[in-house]
Amino acid sequence: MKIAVTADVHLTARADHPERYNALGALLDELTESGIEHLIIAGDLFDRNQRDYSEFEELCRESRRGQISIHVIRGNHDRSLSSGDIALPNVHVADAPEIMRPDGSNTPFLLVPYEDVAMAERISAHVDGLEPDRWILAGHGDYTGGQRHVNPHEKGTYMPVERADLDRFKPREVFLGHIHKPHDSEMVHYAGSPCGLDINETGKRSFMVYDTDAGTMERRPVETDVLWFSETFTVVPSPDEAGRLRGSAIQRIGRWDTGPEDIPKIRVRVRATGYARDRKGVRSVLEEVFQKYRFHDETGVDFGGLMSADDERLEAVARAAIERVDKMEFPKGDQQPRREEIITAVLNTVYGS
Amino acid sequence: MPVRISRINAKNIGPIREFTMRPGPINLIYGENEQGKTALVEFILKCLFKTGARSPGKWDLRDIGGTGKITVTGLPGGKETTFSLTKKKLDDIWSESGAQMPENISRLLVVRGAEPALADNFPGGADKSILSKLLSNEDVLATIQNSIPQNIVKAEITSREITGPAQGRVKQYRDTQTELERINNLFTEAVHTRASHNTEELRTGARDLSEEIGRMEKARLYHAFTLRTRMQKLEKEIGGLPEDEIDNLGRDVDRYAEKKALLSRKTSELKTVSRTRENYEWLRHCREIGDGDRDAGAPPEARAIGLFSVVAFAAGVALVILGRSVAALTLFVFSAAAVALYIHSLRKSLKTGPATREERSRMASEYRRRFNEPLTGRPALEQKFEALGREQGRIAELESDVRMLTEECSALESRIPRVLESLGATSGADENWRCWALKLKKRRAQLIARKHEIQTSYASLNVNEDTLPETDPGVEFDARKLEKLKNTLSAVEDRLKARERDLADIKNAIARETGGSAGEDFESLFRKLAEKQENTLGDLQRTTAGIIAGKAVYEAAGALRREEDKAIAEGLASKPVADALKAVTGSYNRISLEQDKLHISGPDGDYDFSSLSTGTREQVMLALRMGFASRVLGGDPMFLILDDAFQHSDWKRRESLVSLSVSLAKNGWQIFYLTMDNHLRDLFRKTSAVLDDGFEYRELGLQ
Repeated sequence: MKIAVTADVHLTARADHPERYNALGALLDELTESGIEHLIIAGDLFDRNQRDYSEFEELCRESRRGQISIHVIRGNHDRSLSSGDIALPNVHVADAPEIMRPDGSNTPFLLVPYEDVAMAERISAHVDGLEPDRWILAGHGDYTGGQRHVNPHEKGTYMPVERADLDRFKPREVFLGHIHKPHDSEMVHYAGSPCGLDINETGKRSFMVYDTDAGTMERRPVETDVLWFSETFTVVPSPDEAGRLRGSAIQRIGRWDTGPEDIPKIRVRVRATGYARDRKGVRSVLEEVFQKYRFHDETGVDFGGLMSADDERLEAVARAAIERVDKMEFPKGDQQPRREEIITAVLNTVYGS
Repeated sequence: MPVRISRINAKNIGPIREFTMRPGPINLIYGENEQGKTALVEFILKCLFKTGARSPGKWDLRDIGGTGKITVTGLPGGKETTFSLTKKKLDDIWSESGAQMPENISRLLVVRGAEPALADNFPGGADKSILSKLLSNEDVLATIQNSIPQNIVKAEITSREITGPAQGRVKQYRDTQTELERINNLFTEAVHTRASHNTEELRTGARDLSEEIGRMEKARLYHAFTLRTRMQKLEKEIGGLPEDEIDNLGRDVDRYAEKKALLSRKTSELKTVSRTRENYEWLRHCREIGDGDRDAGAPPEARAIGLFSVVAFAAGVALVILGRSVAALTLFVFSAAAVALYIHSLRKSLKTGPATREERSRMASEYRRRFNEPLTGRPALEQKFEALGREQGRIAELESDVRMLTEECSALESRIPRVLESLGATSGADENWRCWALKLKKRRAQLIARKHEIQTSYASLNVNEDTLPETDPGVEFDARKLEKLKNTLSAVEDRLKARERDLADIKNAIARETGGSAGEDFESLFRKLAEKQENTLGDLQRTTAGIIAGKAVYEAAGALRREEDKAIAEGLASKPVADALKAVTGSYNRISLEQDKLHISGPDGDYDFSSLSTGTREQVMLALRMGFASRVLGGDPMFLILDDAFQHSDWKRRESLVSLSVSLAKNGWQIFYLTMDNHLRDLFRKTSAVLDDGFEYRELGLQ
């Protein structure tokens, strides 16, 4: 049996953010076409203070979407949501921890709604009777094991679940909401939001499909009205800075993995930093390369961080230093600066001296 | 091909309205103060070279305004190239052509003021710094390097860590790293503490345990109540079995058994003895009848009585006849009584009277039967009678004993069942009495033991007997379970306290780290810690980036300096420099840099540059300019602009320098000399006369 998982839709009034409704609708349609009958929404289906659920109900009634059993787990944004709020037979709100066996599946899902406690407290009260390595945990919170990812909008720790908890309770897989960026870490999977909420949530969106029989997980794309992308270019002054920048920009766009049909959906933020011989030229290149895309605001290309450089001697030093940086051995990892930060530091060192 | 300026056209340059010139090999431009000499030099510089604030030449030029053009020949492509204030510069053309021209070529080709005598500004003579300043970007590179703190320069950067002096940025790096590690550990500990210290679970557990203990406590009180009730019942039951009664009963039962046994024995004995009585009586009868003969009729007394009865009867009849019925009745009664007495007497006489032969025969036969011996005669009978008579006294004693024992047994038989019944036992047959007595005694003992046992249990419950409930709480009291529950609750409470203490500790630690308050909720403190973690990480990344960048920049600048040093060394050893040196000095043909000191050589030997005369050093410096400049053009001569470069030289050296300039022009160099000095003007005019029409003169203010 296949179970779809998404999270962090953050539905508001439809008029305010129709793209979120449309993304969820597209996801449901994909499920009906694929014959997937169960969808788990791992928290934050609704945005904070959203109390009108009628538009969501309307969305779920459209077409054949009513055939899909939707299991809604409360998140920190919709923590007041209760099982009686959604008046649809196919939508069930888990407002307390519960074990869900979709269609009598042998793989039970422990649905843990958000509370201001450690997730282990809720798991421990319900894990009895669940066979180790045979059950699935679905909840809304922070996984604090492995590489820590932080919701940029919420820097605290929300219903944390530790690596030690997983060792103790032994779920087979963990599906979480709260971090909007899709992420997989061993058995822990963040579904990610099906629609980027703003320019900070970039890239194509997806949802997860878990096969309980095969024990496999795949990500499938979600059709969205809007695709956010944000690119920052650190310009190093050189005679061919414009050409280099053009190549870099085209390469970045290539990594978006979008097609011509996506162009109308794309909202992009472009920033140029560093030093340039010809700021105007840099601007022209970036405006030209990104001309077919809509900018996320009226600012267009942001050149606020781009300085002018007309000293070829400094330029030579900067280039030589960057070459050295690229060859240097230095600590790398999560806590280390990215290359762009080091390049910026090189430029600031040379031009600020 | 020599690079030369073929035309200069300028308008409104400073005070100069218009300036036009077609330069020759030697070009002297004369002007008094404020006539625009400096403006013209700056115009030439701005047209031909990059002169911005960040340009390699580091010229500090004024805004002179104006327009104009300068045409140059001999550049790559062979065509004349015109330069203006806004167009490309010589630097660009050489750069585009791939010529390895020093970035500050303008500094070589344009000499302002007393720069040829730069060495004078350096006590001890010219050294590498002079050459570097003149021929390389040394000053820029040095400035960059000097801007990088020594702690960064000395830092060791590996793929694992950054080490170095605990100063400045490196110290900041270490401190930030330590701080971040501390925050990370605190964060991990906080998350772990919160995740593993599930106080709610413990609170719920403690609450459940307390409730269960509460129920068990009620059960304990009710249990105490039931024990007390049972004790009361037992006391009552024990009271129903008085110890003295049971003891008396036992004694009665014993006595009864004893008496009964004695009675039985006495009775048996009496029975045995009683059997002789009949024989005794028979013998007595035999003795009475043994001497008479009853065949002689009734005895005299019987006959008297019989007569009285007849008389009385006859008198009675008479009285009846006489009508004296009452008296008659009395007489009839007397008559009847007399008849009865007569009969009795008669019967008695028949029994005891002297035996007949038949009776004696039967007597002998009976005697044999009774005593199993023949009756030998009256003496034997008497002897036997006496023997039996002696035993008849024993019978009376036995009868008395039996009677007394029977009475005693009867009394006990009456009392014992009554006592038994009063003690709750069934009397039943007397043979069961002892058993009952023992049972009752045992029962009492059991009841007392049970009471003590319950009393002990009751005491162990340690309850206030005034508050014992009479209602069953529905839970069975289990002392072990209650103790276990209390122990478990105590353990849970201890764990809860420990966890709350841990949580409080971690909150305090976070508050200390973040400047927050331990009174804040966990989420708020978490957010502050996360923010500090993020900020510290950002600081660490920026610091790390700064150190890596600083190190890379320092090393890159150092490498560039070494390259330039090498280029200078190569330049000094190059043929154009040697040729220029020979051409300028006329004697020296080699110059080298050893340990940052210049050495010059010629046919007469080697000399430290600093040991040379001022004039020679000026010649050498001019030769170096020319040599390095022409070297980049493959040894071809170029133009040289001298802005009153000799004005501070003494008269003798002035002549020498002017002669040198003319000599250079003869060797293909194009010399521009701008001066306000009449003496120098005259020296150039005089000395350049040898060039025929190769001398061009312009006087500013006259045009």
